[in-house]
Amino acid sequence: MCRFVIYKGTSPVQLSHLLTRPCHSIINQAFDSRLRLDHRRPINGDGFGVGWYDTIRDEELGSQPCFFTSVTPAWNNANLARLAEKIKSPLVFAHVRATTAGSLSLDNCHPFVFGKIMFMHNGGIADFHLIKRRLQSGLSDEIFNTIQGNTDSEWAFALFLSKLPDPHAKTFTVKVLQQAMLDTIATLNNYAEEASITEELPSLMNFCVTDGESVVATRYISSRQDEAASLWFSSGTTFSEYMKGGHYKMTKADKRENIIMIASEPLTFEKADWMEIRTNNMVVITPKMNVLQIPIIDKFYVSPSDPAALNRGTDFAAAKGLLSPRNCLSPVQGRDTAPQISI
Amino acid sequence: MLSVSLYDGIYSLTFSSTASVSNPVPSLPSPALVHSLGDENRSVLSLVADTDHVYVGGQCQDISVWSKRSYTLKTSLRGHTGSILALELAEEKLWLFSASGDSTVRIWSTVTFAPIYVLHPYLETGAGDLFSLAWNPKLQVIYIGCQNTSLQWFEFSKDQIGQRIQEISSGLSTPSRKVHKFFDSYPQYTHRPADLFANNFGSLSPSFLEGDTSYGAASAFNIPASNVIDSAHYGYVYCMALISPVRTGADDSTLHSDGEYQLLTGSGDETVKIWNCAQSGPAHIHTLDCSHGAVLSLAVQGESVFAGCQDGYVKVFDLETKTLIRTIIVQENIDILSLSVMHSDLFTCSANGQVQRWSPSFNCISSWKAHDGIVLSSSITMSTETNGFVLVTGANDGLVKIWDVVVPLNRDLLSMPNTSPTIDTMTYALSTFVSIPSVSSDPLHRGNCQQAAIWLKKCLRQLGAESTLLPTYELGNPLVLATFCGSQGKHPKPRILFYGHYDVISAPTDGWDSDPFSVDGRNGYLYGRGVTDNKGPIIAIACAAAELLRRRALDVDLIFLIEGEEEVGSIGFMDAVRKHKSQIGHVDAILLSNSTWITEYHPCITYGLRGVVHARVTISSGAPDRHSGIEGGAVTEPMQDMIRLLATLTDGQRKVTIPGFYESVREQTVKEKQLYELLSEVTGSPGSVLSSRWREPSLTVHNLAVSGPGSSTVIPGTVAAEISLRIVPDQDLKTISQSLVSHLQNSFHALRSPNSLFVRIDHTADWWLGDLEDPWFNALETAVCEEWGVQPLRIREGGSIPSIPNLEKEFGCRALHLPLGQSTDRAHLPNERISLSNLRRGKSVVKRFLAKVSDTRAPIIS
Repeated sequence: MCRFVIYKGTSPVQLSHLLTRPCHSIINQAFDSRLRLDHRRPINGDGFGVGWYDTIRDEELGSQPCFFTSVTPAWNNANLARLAEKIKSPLVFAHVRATTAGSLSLDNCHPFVFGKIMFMHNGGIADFHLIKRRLQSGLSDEIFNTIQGNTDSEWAFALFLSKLPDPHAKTFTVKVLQQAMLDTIATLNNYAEEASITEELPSLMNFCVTDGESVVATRYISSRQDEAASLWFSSGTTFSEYMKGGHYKMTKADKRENIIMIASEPLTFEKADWMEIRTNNMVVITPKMNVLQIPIIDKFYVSPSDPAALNRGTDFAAAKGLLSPRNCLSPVQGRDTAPQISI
Repeated sequence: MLSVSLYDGIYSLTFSSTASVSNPVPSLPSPALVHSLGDENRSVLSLVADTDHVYVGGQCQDISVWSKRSYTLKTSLRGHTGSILALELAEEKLWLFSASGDSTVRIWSTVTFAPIYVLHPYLETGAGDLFSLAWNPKLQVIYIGCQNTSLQWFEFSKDQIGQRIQEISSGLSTPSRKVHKFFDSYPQYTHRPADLFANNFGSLSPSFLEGDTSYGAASAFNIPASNVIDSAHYGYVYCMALISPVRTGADDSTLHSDGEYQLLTGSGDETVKIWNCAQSGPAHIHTLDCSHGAVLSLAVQGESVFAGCQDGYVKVFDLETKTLIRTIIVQENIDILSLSVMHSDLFTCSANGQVQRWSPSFNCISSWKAHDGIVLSSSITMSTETNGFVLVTGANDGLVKIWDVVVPLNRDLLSMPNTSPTIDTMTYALSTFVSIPSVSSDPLHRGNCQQAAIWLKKCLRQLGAESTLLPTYELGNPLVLATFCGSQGKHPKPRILFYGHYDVISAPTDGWDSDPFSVDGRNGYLYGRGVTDNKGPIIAIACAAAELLRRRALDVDLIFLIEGEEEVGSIGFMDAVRKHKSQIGHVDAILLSNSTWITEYHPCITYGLRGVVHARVTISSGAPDRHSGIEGGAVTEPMQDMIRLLATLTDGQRKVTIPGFYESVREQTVKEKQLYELLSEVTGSPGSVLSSRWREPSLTVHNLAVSGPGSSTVIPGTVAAEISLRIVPDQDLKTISQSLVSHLQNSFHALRSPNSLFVRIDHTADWWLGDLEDPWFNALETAVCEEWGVQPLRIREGGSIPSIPNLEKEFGCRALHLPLGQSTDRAHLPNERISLSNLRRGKSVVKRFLAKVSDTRAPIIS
């Protein structure tokens, strides 16, 4: 089970305010996830990664992000705790990983980086082995050769890079990133269709990508029946601890947003501070700090006003520990027979 | 048709950096700041005003209701648990709508300020922050712009509300908090399903506690799924505006003859959308692309739609053709957060605190720094004082400022009446008066004192008096003499002398929150040196006379005699009065207003003052200072003599031991005793303390000064002490002064000291006691009572004003002392202030008083 968090702000944030201090911080989510229903392995300690951009641009350092990954459990990594106290950044990606299958390797830890582009995935491409060769054959040699690990996530990143007009470009417009993301999802859907992978086994595609200026994230599932893995966001002017014990609150003192966070699970239990991103929507943070929520309209899209939208099932995501809380007023029991999927 | 003009914008940029002389120059000066409201720790996100109130919403969760007339905080509307992001009025229903970051809309009465309804959007907190509101009076529908990009609406027609209430009472739709999968969950290891008692907030969270109790206060409604347009935009729906079917400037009125309103929504996705407001809900008809950052504000004027964008651009669209007709670059890359329209002028509010005014031809005609922070909200509203309009702006500096944006035809320093329609004459005159730093104690300000006298003479003349300056002594500040002549009647008119002073105490800027010599209006108070002592009362009383005069209702002569050296002892004042007595003429009563109430809330009349004798006592050995190691013990030290001498003035119980000192002190009557009991109840301090301060004499030793360095090895050759006596009725000033001197001489003689004693009386003032049975006093008391609805407290003061008893003696009549300000006015201190309401009502008291005393023949004072 993967959980991630994204921060973009007009001023840099100390990483500890995202990673360690809030009562439901990404590190706490690694061992106290509230939206996961399979109880077989409640502890998720198969590594983590955090990537961040510089606060002040330095020619010598370049514009690419720095990222730190480890295969140790996030809550048990003293280096992470130390770094989180001393690093500030205006744009942060952080990811905790759990594998139920596949290898535990540094190369498989998110985020993945290419030039100034950074990428994370929460979910899984269904029957990836059936489309892997097809996907790889469409890539340029350069992109093919940058792939170090063996996960569906990283190959999805490679596919995304191949959809950019120029992955080495100095700047990307929001539109270019949005389009590449839509193309990536559409291509994966096409490959699945070609390989006769049915809607019975949908892919969970919560992708997020940034160039250091804009952020594009998706909450997506290739199914009309099931709910995608959970994704939330919060925006405001300050995010600060109002009571001991990691009780952070978002305050709003301006019409505009100074802080925008996107996370698999809310970092706090302040209900009014967090909004769920709807299934099969793309959320975009523009360089001017505007949040856009754009429906991804394809054959799997169900309009929110369609009653079917409220009836998307949670069993599939639940089975993978990726539950979205929508429409779950009664507890759903976890299934011991959940398929083992690398996520 | 489609013309993009960059000219105005480029010009405005150059204006903000350098004062360019090229055309077009902003032709209007910065507008006058009428008043400021608020404190400095909350950000003002939304504001709206009706005829009587300004409603302010912000970062803190309460809505402040300010009186538009007195600029004081009337009440706070409590209930929201998040920032107040939008406010809207339904004036015909007397309702206020507030939208918040807590994902509720609350509806309040603008009459009782009670909560009426709570409205939950569809998906409740899933809708996120509620950024914008618009009320459609025809359909009785409120539109809500949400963070989740949806546009939602709710109908408040009688039928709909009745139906909803029925549904709620029959249990069909029960608004209550539902269990949330995440927010009400337990840690996984507990294996507990989510429930309402999970309390992940921690025990102290106010949002958790208040969230449930608030339902008790008002009926709650839920917006049904059918009243939602999902993805109305891709971004947050930041702003809304309603377009009336009847528009000024619309050439073809038949075009919208169906009489439907249209709704505009602006969003973070850089677009403005136009919707037709149908009974069934808004129907999208057009999208206007702004492509310059989020559209954070919208305004409509006639056929023009103004969209204020994040980049510092205002896009102007024509509604008829739905095309862009103009781009105004206000300040490049400085976000525009609010727009307001007055007549055909546009006001733009920017993130750098600047507000600019644009003419119908899109020229920047005024530009000023309105706030130190980000201007987040603005509104145009009628002024309560006059028929004009004011611009109200709110910012993240926590202040709401009210600007006089109407252009006066001719505004010079002295031409006050009728030039400024929004600032009343009294406030405007006082502002100018205070701006002249007439500090009488500082020779550097002598010129300012002269200037203040000349200004006051002209001001009183403009208000309708005959005025002149009277010289005092060489280099002394002149007196201002002005007479408001009442209309001729059958009887000889009573003549009342108003005594005041135009000089002020110095005001070092330390400790002041604003410039002491520039009147600053904040939260119902005017701040500035002299506003309460004594410039404010002078102007209030002059305005009272002027208003009566204008209505031909002034039936007394009111003579203003205003001196310029009260704060430095009124040197030469009485000599000048005697010299010019014939010019002043006959006087029947003296009025002054030179102190404050005893508390903040109860009106008072002052009827007594203590007198004072200031003396300087010097003991000298006639020899130079000596070394105590060499000479100590061999000489009679002046300091030791002084200590023994001063010790003879009082006994161990603070009693003054000057022979005969208490002999003539008037006995306290039973009536007086009752008065102190009443005052003790009002003020909370014991009556005995008040009577010691006001009606008992006292002695104070102010300081001891020595010759030489004052170090611990020197015997000073000369020692001087400053002492004073406060005296009360019926102590005789001369007798007391003489007995002080002779007591000191006798006591010193008894010491048999070789040193010599000098006693000098520096300054004296007699006590003053008004007559509580006097008809003039009764008239004043009745006037206060009628204005304030309570019997004024009769108070005395421990201090001294020498001119009152002197004027009484000189003119052979009684004086009346009417304090206008409150005990918290801080005269002589930093942040001196006076309540605007006290000033206005004080003016009214004086009008009532003048009307009253003219009713009857002038009472003769024996």
